[in-house]
Amino acid sequence: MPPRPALKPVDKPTSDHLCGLVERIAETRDRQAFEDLYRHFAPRLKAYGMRAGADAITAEELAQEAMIMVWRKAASFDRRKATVSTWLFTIVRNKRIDLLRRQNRPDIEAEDVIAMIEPEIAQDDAVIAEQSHSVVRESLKTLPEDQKKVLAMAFFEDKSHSQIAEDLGLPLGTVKSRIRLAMSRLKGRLGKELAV
Amino acid sequence: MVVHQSDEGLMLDYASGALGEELSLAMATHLSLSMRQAQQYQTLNAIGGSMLDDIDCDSADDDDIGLESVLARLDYEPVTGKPVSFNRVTSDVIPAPLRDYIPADIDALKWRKVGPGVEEYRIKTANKAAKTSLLRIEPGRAMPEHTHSGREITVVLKGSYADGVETFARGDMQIADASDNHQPLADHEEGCICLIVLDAPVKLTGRVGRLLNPFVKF
Repeated sequence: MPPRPALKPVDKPTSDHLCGLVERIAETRDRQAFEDLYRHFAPRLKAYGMRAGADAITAEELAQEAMIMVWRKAASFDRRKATVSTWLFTIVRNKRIDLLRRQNRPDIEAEDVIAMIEPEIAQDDAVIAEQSHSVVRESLKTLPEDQKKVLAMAFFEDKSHSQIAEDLGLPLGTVKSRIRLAMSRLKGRLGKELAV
Repeated sequence: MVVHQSDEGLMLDYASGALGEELSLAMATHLSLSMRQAQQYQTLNAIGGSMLDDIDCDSADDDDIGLESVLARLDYEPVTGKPVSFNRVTSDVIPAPLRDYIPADIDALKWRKVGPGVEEYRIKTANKAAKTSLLRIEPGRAMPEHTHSGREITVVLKGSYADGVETFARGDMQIADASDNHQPLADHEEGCICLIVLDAPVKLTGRVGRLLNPFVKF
């Protein structure tokens, strides 16, 4: 077999392109689509593991196991509900707990949420999911540093909000209000952008 | 402190993965039944997704992070399906994440009587220090009065209960801590089925409760 070229992540693949890759895996078990996704996400998943405190080998194992879940669960991906990045974040988070903490983490499945809100979703909901993702991404950049810091510590450093309060030397109430402010700001932006 | 909904700290801890199995189960159950909260959770997941997009990673690295070995495994990986199926009554009451924790339909579970009109089904989780149960309370019946040495999280699955201050209905989550002394009373017509997660054992405080204390673990 000829040697494979080294990983070269596609420059900024569109969200639509990534959704298409997962759907191809679900529909036809498309290995090329899987490879493309792997090249894009595996380095990010490994970085996520290392930020959470895993060593390089364990972080690679985490990336591999998360990508295996992508292969196995591709049929449950629904572009109306989440982008591939969001879906993968939920997968790698749950896998990290499974792998590093040897614990199960009960989660809600996208289809359960959809069943719950189905009547409310508009026809072009995929567009909405895509828009809301880019809105979240953009709004995150505009958050005040102190709010961003709390979110980053929570999502990347495996810390609970009370540990964050302790680490930053802040009262619990202050951390909670930063979370609340960040969420309402993101939600406010979402509402504004999507109301049209 | 008593609240109807999960607070933002608990929600962030759930989304980031900081909660243990039992509290995660309570949150997943709650979110399955509460649309507004589920949407907040999705927003937090989207934040996680955005941060994953923008994470610093060494993509110039030659390392292929084991792509070959993963590709070689693909053909042997089972594609997920749900093996256990439940009857309509069960699936209407028990949301999907919680169904994974029960071996049979509601009426076929091994319920244990823990008081007049009150039955308990213990759910097994990995952490022995926490206690997770389903509680089925007959219409108009009360739980023994109790306080907690830790946090108690209740999620209502069917019917409702009142604790003297507020009423909690399907999907509602109540978070009670050590300062609360309460005696939930189930709805007079429907009774109540709920999920309860205890971080630490409950202390019984009523007169009867004190007598029962050595025998009843609730």
